[in-house]
Parts: sequence; C-alpha cells; structure tokens
Amino acid sequence: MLKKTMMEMQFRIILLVLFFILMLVVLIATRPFIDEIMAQMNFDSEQMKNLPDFFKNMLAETTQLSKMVEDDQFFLLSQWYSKNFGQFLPLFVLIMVFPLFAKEVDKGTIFFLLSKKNRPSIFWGKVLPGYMVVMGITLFFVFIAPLVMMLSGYSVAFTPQLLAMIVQQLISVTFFFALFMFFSVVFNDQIKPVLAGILVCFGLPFFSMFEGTKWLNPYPYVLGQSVLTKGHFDGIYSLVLLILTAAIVWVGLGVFKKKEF
Amino acid sequence: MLERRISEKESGSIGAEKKALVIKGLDKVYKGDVHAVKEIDFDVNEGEVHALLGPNGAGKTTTIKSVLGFIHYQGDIRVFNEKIDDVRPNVAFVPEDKSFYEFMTPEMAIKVCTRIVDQFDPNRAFDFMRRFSLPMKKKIKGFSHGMKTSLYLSLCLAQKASLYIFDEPTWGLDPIRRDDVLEIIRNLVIDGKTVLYTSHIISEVEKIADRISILFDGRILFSGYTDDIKADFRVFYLPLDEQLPNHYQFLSSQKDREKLVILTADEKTIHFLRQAEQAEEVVPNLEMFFQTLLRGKHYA
Amino acid sequence: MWMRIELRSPLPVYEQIKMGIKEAVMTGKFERDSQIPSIRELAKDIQVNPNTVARAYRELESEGIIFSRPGIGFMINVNRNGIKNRLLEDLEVELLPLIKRMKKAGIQKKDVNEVIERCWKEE
Repeated sequence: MLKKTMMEMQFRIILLVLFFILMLVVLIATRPFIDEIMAQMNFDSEQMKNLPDFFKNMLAETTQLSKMVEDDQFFLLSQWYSKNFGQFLPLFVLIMVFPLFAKEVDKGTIFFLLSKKNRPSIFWGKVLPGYMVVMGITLFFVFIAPLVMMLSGYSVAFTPQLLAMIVQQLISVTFFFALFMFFSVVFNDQIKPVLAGILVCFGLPFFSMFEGTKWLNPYPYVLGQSVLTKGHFDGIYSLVLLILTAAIVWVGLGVFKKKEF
Repeated sequence: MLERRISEKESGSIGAEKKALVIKGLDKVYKGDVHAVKEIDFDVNEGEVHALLGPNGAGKTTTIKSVLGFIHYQGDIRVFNEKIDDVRPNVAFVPEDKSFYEFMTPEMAIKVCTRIVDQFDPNRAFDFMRRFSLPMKKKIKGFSHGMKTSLYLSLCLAQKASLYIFDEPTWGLDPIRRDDVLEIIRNLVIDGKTVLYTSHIISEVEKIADRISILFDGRILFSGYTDDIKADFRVFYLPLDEQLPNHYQFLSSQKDREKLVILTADEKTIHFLRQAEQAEEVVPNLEMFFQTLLRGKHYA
Repeated sequence: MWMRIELRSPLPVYEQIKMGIKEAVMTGKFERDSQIPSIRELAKDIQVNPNTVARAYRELESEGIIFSRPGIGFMINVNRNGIKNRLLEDLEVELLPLIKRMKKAGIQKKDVNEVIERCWKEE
C-alpha cells in the first residue's frame, strides 16, 4: 500500500516539497538582507515605512529584533520554525491527508479495496503509509533548514532548544494528521474534509481571544513559542496531543470498521 | 416430472452439491426507510453460474453488497460456509461502478494489484487486457465505459479465486465483447469456479446461467434452474372470462391483450388448463417467463 | 459438430444433450463400451455450462444408457438396438394418453395411422 499511497500523493508531494524548498531558499537568502535593513532601520525610520507590508509584519512581530540580527540560531528558530514552515504545517498536513479515504469513496475505488481486504487492513494500509509520507517530508524540512544554514556559513547548532522545537513540531504534525485523517474517514465527498480542515486551521486561533479558551489554540505550541521565549519544552501539551491523537485514530478505526459503502 | 426429480436425487454420483454461497433471511433497510431487500433466501452451488435477475432497484446490488460485507444487514450469509472476512482471497469482485484509479495506466494497475491482491497472476491480467485490446500505457482517466469494464474484468479474472461476483459485467461493452465476456465466464465454471452475477439483459442470462434468481421489489419471485423453466413451466393464454378453480396453483397471472395469462408449474393445473377450450399452451423462454412473472400477480 | 444445442428451443438444454448422445449411438458415432467426451470437453465443445452436461450425463446414467468408470470417464452402456427400444418406449409413453383420448372420442385406428403417416412425411 505504501507505493500506491505514494503514487496517489505524488503530485502533492512534489508541489509541497518545491514550495517548502522555495520558502527555505528565500528565507536564507534574505538573512544578510535583513541584517542590512536592520542596520539601516536604526538610522532611518522613514525607510521602514516604505517596506512592503509582509516584511513589516515579519519584523514587527519579532520582539527581539536586535537579537535576530546578531544571533543566527535565533534567526533560524524564529523565522523557520516559528514562522514560515511552522505556520504552514497544519495546512500542509491537510493538503496531504484530506483525500486519503474521501477520494476512494468519492471516486468509487473504495470497492476495490473493500472486496480485497478486511477493514482494519485497509485502514492501516492507508493510514500508516500516509503518515510515513507526511512525517518523511516534515523530518526532511526540520533538519534540512539548520543544515543548509550551517553549510552557508552561519553559526547554527543542534542545541537542546532546537531539538525541543523539532519534537513539538513532529508531535503537532502527528496530531493534525490524525485529525484530518478522521475527517477523511467520516465524510463521503472530498469537499467536506477540506472545509472541516480549513475551519480547524483558521478557526482555532480565535480561541486565543479569551483567556479561558486560550489553550484550545494549538498554534503557540506548533510554533514553539515557549521554546523560543522561555527555552523550555511544553511537556503537558505534548502529552495531551499524543493522547488525543491515539483517541482520534482509535475512533477513526471504529468508524471505518462500521461504515456502510 | 416427479419421477425425474426422484431419480435425480438418487443418482447423486456426479457432483454432489456443495454450496459456494448461502443467504438466509437477508433483510436490508437503508436510512430513510428504504426497504431494499425483504427477507430473501437463496444459495449458489459450487460450479454453477447463478444470475441475479431483476429490474433496476429490485435489490440486486444491495444483495451483493451484503454478501461482500460492504453494508450492515439482518440475516445470515455464508460464503464457502464461512464469514466473508475469512474467505476474501477466494472471492473476486467486479462492482457496478467500474472506476479504477484514474491516474494509473493498465500497466500500473497490474503492478499495484500484484502488490495488494492475494493470489493475483499478472500474466493472466496482461492476457485478458490484450484480448480486450486495451492501451497499456494510456491513463485510465480517458477510458470509455466499455474499456473501464474490460480493465476491471481483467484485473478481477487475474485473481485466482473460487467465487467470482460480477455486478453488471457487460456494462458498456459492444455485443462482440459481450459474447467474449460470456465465454470467459463459462470457461470459469468449466475450470470449476463459481460465478454469481447480476444482469438485466435476459438474452445474456439465457446463454450462460445455470440457475437464476429473479428479484423484484426486494423479494425473490423465483429461484431455479433455467433448464427447469422449459421442462416444468407452461404459459397458458385463456379467454378473460375463464373460471379457474381456486385450488389450482400458479405462479403468476395477468391480463394481457385481452387474454388471461397463466404461468404455472403445477401438474394438476397444467392438466386442467389443457382441457380448457380456447386455451393456448406455450413453453416459455426465459424472456417470456421473466415478463409474465414480473407483470403478473404472484401466487407463490 | 455432431451435437447442436438450440438455446431458443422449447426443449431444455440437458434434454437436447441426452438426445444428442442417443442420436450419436443411433448413427454409429459411439458404439457400446466406447468412451464419450468428458463433461468438461463436451461443455467446451457445445458451449454449455458443465453443470448442464453433468445433469444430462447423470440422467443418462440413471436410465442405464451410459455408465461411469472411475478414473476413465463415461462409456456407452447400450447398443443401437437398446437406444431404438428406449426411444420407442418413450414414444409409447407419450402416445398412450393421446391414443386413449382418441379412442374415447370414437376415432378409428386407421385415421390415427393416417395422421402418423402424414407426420412422418412432414419431417
């Protein structure tokens, strides 16, 4: 089933890998450029007003601007993991996962699998390869970014802080994979799992508007804000996400076993 | 007729009847109160071609989906005396919807099946695809209905199963290919396999089915050997005002073209009707049998 | 092909097969103790399901026209005369009730003979 899954995901794999590579290249290419802007900015604040919007946001949100200018490691953590790559992670998982089951049902090819294999083998035969592909791409990009920076001559190292960040993102990807896989199992067409996924990706941040529901917004965890600001790994949130992941997968299997086609 | 039946039972020396499939009390109500199949019983002997016949919506596909465990149902279904999940490698299936993965070419489809399907013989798949003259390197996406059916059939036939289940196996095929498929089905039973298939094309069924079960409105109106229809059943055309004693038995009666049409296999009834004046007796072919059965009122 | 099957005939296929075997004995294609095609072979030749052939053979066996020799196949159990007698017996069984009816209706033997004569010519 791994080969079949890879074939099905082929187009999306190529597209997203290219997208992430482009993102990484642009980021590293702007590293010296940002230095210059920062340097100029100190003297000429007029210049800042003329910068494009996204650039302004990027700079403004980073609380320790000067630290970023001097510290390559901090630049990597804040700009790759906490921004570009990190922010895109849930959407990336959604794009990879939403058709996993829904497309088979939508296109009628599910009958082929159903007649050949028992339900649990079909379920795991799709979930495990799917997870391997998503995890593979994630692993590639969480490790390639520091490596490329090292090769480009920046002083970057695999510090405990960096590893904590990576582990949090891997757990996040695992959780979103389970959630979006579940949507794909539950719905019979391909549009509903996408809509549900988009709702999750763009809806959850709204919970941070209220103090009581803040914890429902997973983005601070995904982007590793505690790692970035306080330097510590969020163990409780990790544990909760992993337990939730297991529960979702278990319920998903149950739904798939009972589902009528 | 009675004598023949007895002698048949006594001389069981050739092929004692083992069951490939036994369905008991199958009942299916879909969400929204659609009662698709109503407590049906039937079985398929090993080594026979069994056709499920009936108009659209009669419950053919629901029956097959139940057999394969795609839907929940009430009742008991055994395939080779087991639950379907325990015998899947022994059962090959072509669904009503013949869509295969569109991004694949037939060549890729064979490779994928070789990995996924138990007891799959890629050479056999190649042979069938060549026979159907499918373009091996073209994407399935651009295939016609007939090509999709040919592809699915090739993949299904390449699985070395004991029971082959086909839901409308000639869908979209031109008449020559259709005969080709019928011959392939016959060769399956000659090789000792069992075939259950659905169709609404009676001439097709007449050519290859050993037994038929006629489904109508979720019920089985008739289940038996196609040959027995000719041997046992008679259709009588009678004047409309013909009085029929009510202890005579018939399977179906209808009023058609200002005639009373009676379909019966009961010897006493046949004997009685032969005496009737202006009675016209006909040995029904499958088409006539099917039409009379479906259009008439049923007395089973 | 020595045996022809008409799907559209009012005669059941297995009856046609039985008749075909009997005719083959009458025409001398098969003699007593000679082997006839296996169920599979015949099924392939005449494009009929093996089940139907098996049924015909089963009935021929119970009528004593063929017998099976395990490991070898089916053999003819009768000679030409045997078949002839059986066919005539069949005819008698079918004719008897009809003749009875004719007799009851007061029809003369010579009139019945005339009908038989005419039927004979028609074929």
